Amino acid sequence: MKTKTVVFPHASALFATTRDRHPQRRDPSGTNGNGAAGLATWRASILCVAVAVCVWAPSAFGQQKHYIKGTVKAIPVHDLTAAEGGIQPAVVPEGRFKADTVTPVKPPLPSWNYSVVAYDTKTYTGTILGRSPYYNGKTTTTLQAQIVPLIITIKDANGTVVYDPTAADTCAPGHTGVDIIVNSPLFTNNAWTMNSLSMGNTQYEDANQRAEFWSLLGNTPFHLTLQESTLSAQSLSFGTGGTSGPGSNYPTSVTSACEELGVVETNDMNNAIQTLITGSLAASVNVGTIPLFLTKNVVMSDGDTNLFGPNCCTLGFHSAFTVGTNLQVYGPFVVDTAQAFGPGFTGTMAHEVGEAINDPYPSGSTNQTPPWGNQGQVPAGQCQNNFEVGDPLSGGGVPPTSNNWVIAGANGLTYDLQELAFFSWFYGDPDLGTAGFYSNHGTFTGHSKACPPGGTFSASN
Amino acid sequence: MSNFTRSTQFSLAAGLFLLTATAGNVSDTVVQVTTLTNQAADSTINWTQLGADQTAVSASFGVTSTAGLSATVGLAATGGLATVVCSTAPPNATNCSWTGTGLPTGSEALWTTDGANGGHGPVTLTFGSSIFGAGALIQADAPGQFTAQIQAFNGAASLGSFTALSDSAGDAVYIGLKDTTAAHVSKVVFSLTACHGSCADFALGTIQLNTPSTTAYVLNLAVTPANGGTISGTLNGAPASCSSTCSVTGTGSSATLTATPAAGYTFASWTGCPTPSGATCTATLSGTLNISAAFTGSTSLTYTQGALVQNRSTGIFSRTVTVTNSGTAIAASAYVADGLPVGVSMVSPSGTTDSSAPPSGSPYLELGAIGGGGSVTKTIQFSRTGTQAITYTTRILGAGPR
Repeated sequence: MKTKTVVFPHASALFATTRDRHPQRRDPSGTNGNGAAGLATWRASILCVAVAVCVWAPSAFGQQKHYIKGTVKAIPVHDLTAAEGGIQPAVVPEGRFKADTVTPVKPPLPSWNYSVVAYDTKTYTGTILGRSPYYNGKTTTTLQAQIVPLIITIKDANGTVVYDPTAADTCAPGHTGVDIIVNSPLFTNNAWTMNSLSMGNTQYEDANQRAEFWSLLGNTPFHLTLQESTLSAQSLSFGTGGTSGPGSNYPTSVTSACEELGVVETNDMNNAIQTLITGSLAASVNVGTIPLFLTKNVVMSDGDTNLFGPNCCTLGFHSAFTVGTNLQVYGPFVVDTAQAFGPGFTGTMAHEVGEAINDPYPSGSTNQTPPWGNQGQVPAGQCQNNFEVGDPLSGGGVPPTSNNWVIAGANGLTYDLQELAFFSWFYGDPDLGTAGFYSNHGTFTGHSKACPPGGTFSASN
Repeated sequence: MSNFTRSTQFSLAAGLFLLTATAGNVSDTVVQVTTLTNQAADSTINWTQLGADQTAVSASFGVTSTAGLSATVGLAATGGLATVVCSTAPPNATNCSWTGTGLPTGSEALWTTDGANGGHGPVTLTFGSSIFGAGALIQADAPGQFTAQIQAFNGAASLGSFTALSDSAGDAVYIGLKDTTAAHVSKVVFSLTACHGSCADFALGTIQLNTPSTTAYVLNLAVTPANGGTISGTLNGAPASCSSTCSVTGTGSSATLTATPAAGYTFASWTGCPTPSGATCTATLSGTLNISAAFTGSTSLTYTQGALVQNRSTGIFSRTVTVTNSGTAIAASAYVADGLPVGVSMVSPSGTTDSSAPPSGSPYLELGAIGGGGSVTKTIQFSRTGTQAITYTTRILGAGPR
């Protein structure tokens, strides 16, 4: 789901809050409607709709550094007419899971289908990237992740600023935005102990997938790894004279951040990315790869470019468009070297990549879940019904929220990674993950409660 | 003949499924094997030789059986893995990568994975030398019922194929075959014909083999007397023949021999043959075996004699006698004149009387040795005291063979 951030000036610092939005229709129960086709429907969870209701955490005040709040979201699947491959469904029969039929397609991202009878006795189906944990054989499956640096030029009344993730960064001396991400725990190995069990020396998303389906995997060599490659930087221009849409620069004097911030409109960014995928990147990006478009200190706002408006700020999202019978999964992410939205560089990316793996079809027709809410990114009174593993634990949302992983990288940088919810948190028991836990860092000890009113069971209830 | 395909429900009792196929000029009977026990393998191809769990294999690689038989394994593409079958189900599984049920825990299998949810099957095994049969446990990667298939080939010619259906859970099933005619199986192909997920994605357990024996057996043959005949036949299909004394070494344990007498001889008996039947001997060797065939020579003497001619000056009667030996060569022979009238005597040779047969005391003409097919001609003479007729009964004596 697409990630948004709303920025509120507060004294000399910025008071940030997280909010989701889902402008699509809702059913009377409060569940997101997620229209059947969903092709043009944005789907995201609104955590708070108005600024007035978004003030919460006392820790946001006082002497602590205050960050602009960023959110994450997914953009539904779009149709595209190009004849390419896509996701290849597989089969997952086990227990209350039933096998689905398979329609072989060409050079797709490896994926598997599930069909589950959830705690509400309804049957849900979906697709998850990687290799089925239900299969007899356990081995490493690789997803080709392509970092596409976006060199964004924004010209406005404040001047022209080039946001270049390939250039040496003044706020992270000795680093570029690209190397910060490439050397992050998303692409390098660390020894992960999740819920007291060793997931091995591996990447974060792999550790999460192992923990999420631990009861089916144990200490077998099942892995889902991201094979990173960095493609040639792509240039986009926004603002005055720009070709991709309006854009605004926000100097440090306005934000108190370490570097300038740029804001572009979310749809404009999405359109520009799709144009790149089907245009200048067509030779290297295909349905068998996941291009991750990396901006440096450029975030998105829905419908405007106002950093301080209610529609800002989206730090990244994951989405996909259909290519024939397959999907082209992609997403833009910001590397926040300005440290405007929080520390650790990779909180948003950990969230979104985890969601892209577990919910590659960000549309209403698949990967649905029993309605959940009053949790994380979904405020009380609202419900969400998709398998977005980051949203129930989005920082700053309805507690309990992410018990972030803080990892010291070999490059001397410290990375934050958001905790992710497990499959069984959404669908209920049996607990397929690390026994007794429903998220990867100990926060959830029970599965979600039916929404409304939502919430989460705990080990004690 | 072609397209011989039989399907079996694996749940059926281990029945006998026959398939008759033609491979080139050889008509073979091929039998499906549905259990490891019935395969009764004499050797195996163990996948542990590929390396540890998760060792990647190429699209074509060589293996060797426990009996030293070489084979080439072919996959559709590079990327298969050696996989160790877990002894304990997840989450307690460790040091293993195959969690399916039915393959022996702790054993190693060949997994045709492509690293995701597809595969690089089928698996083709081409043997260094032809065998009688092969089989293995097989299991689809995706849970759920599947149909396995084994195909056998003699060179490029199909010997047929069989299928086996797993249970609904998709536990491993055994699928194998035997060529009961001869060791004509040069290649087998394991595959899945129906499954959930990708049918190119499966694990193949240890390959069970029925191979021709490689034990060296020695068959010592002898013919008595030398040149009295020959022994011919096969030792596990290999030619075995001998006309005096010889030693035949083969890699099979089954021998079938026939004794054929030389001219002038007849077969007499076998010595050392476990199962003699007339001039035929069958034997199953468990080591070195000494077998001899005895032949008996035959005597077949005929004679012709000329007319008695009287020398008027001496009164002596003479005639020529020719004895022909169409039998075995003899060491000695004689022309006996039995029942000479009173007053008639043999004057040349003289003084020789036969006591070997009645009426004893008859005179005889020593003819000596006569080779097989040979003859001898001599002259005999008589005298008489009066005018009585010179009559007698001719008897030929032969002594041999020599």
